[in-house]
Amino acid sequence: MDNYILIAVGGSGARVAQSVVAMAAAGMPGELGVNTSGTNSQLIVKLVDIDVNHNDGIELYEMITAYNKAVGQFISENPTLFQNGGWRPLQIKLLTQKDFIFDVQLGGAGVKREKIEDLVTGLTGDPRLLLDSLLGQDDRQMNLLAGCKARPRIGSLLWQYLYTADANGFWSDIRSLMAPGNNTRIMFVGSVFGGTGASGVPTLAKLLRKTVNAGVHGNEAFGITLLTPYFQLASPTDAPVLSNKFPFESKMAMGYYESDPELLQMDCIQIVGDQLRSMMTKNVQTEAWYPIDYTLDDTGEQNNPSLPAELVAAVGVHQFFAAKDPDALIIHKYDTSANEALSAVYSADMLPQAQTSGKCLYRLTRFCHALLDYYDQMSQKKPNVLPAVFHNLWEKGELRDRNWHNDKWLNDEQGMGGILDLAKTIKRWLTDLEHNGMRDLLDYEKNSSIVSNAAKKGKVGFSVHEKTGKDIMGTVNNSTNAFFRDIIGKDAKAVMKIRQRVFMLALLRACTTD
Amino acid sequence: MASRILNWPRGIKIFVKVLLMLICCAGLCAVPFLLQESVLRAFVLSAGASVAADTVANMFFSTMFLWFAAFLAAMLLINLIFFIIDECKNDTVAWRRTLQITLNIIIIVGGVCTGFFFLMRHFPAQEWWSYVLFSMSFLKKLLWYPYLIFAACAVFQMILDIWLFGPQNRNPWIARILKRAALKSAR
Repeated sequence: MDNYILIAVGGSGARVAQSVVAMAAAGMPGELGVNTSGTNSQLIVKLVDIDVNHNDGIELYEMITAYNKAVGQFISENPTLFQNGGWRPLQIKLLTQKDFIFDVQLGGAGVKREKIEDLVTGLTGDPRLLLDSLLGQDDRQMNLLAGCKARPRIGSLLWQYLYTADANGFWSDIRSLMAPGNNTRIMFVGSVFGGTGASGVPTLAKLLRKTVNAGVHGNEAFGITLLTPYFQLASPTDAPVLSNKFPFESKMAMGYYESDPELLQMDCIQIVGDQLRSMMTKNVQTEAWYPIDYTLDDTGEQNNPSLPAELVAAVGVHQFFAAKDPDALIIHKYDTSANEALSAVYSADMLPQAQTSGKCLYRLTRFCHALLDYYDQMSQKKPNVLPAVFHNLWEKGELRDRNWHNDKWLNDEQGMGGILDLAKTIKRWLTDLEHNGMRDLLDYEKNSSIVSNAAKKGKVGFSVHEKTGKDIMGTVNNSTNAFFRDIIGKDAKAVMKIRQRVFMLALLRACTTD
Repeated sequence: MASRILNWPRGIKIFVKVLLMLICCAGLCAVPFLLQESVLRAFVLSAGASVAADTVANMFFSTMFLWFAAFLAAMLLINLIFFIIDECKNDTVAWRRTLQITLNIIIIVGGVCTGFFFLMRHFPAQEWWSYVLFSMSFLKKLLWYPYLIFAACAVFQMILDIWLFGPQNRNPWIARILKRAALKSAR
């Protein structure tokens, strides 16, 4: 069994994990040489965060859930589904919310452990004096449920205690995957300039490695991905997270890595950085993009957009998973342009594994355009102008139903609700990247309006990253004929599943250039 | 069997559909030959005619056949062009389908008008026409049947080319029939 485990620590870790999931969905592991056929390879993504409002983590969970609903379940049912080349997504193990996040049980019903003071109750005399001298009052009183907020000194105190407590068997579950005979690559991802990641990554990686090596285990490689400062917040001067403190925090953290022999013995350390970018995010109500400010209110949600540096880190994570020798030194080349008219990452050549990265990104953009901008639009039209794929997969009577679009097409069981959800999460990720430095590479919104306008007129005269609309639609029409072969002898419920699988496979086939 | 046909490669499906369209068109063009004998036999000329009756009958029949076949072939050609465009583009634009139907109707109306010209103007103007002896009932048939047969054949071909063997993305009837058969055998 080959296990690829990603432990995302903190907000930056969660966003790198989103990129890892997106690229795994795009078939990057298969392109890099991972054997994706069979149930012997799986990617397991887990999140470590104490911030209860970790929207980045929630988005990550939704992304994996949507992926499994749309693609993963079919790989589990038929491990040889993607053995014939082309777009081969990797199986991502579907985890329950409980298994997915390291629930450190600081909060919750009836639990009052929101501050350091709540964890060290009853201290008197010298121990109390020691605590007071090591941690100032603001540290002792800070709300832990909002994350470490750029205070690794708080996190490092917590992780050792929380790892040993092992709530819900989070760490023992991971260790059980490292049984003799299994090959496991485990990567910890987090930032070095924040609080949760900066303290959690080194502490937890060391602890897990130590525990695994002390027992009976299989063949493991441990990696760490560190994100040095790559974004800035337009924050008020008294905010607890200050972008101008990032370089100082990072130097401190890197110094720690340099002096710790256990960390230096990790099989792979990936360090990714970028210019400090202001982050643009989308207002859900107005759909306008605006720069993110730091929220003074500690209970505010952390929901940052995905950034190019996180994508680069994700590609590195996949390289670590796929590499024959995990110790191999990886140096990414990164060219910058002096042309201010161009976005920061304007070509796939600027990304590591340029050819594969470009191919996977383009696959995903085509997939979203075809599904959300074309087929979803078409599905609202009258049956007589619907493309063949609709007539292949649904019966005439169903298509004539006035509520067909809402009742069937958008339905998770009877229609394509699951695949649409996946496309929506991927679209959010892609548009985040587009508005944060990858506009010229992705061209998502421009192509989106072109494809939508074409769909309104029933036209296919568009091209998305060198793949024409007529090619995409032709392949989908043809590929969905397999539906009639696959449904022989199946009951109504199975037919609905086959319909989803056939459509999903047709889309993947149509949106790749292989 | 139906699901196997549905899974044929696209190129083969297009080839088979074009072949079927050509065969059907050839079959429809041959319809006048079913009436050839009775038409030829009906031509009787009165005494004093400068040409033989069979010469006139053959000329009449071959002119009628050429008119008939030319319009059906023109219709096939137009429909094949639209078929290839549709198969290449894989789109569902409404205006192209409307244009195709309009052109087909123009061909049908044009064909009927041309037939009218031959039967009501061209042939009666010929010198030998005055020597032709027809029974009234046959004359009536001769004046109306060609239009009716042409119109029926042309409409039938229009249905075949546009709807029965139409391009894949326009959900042709042949695909619906095969899908229904495939679904029936699957259950």
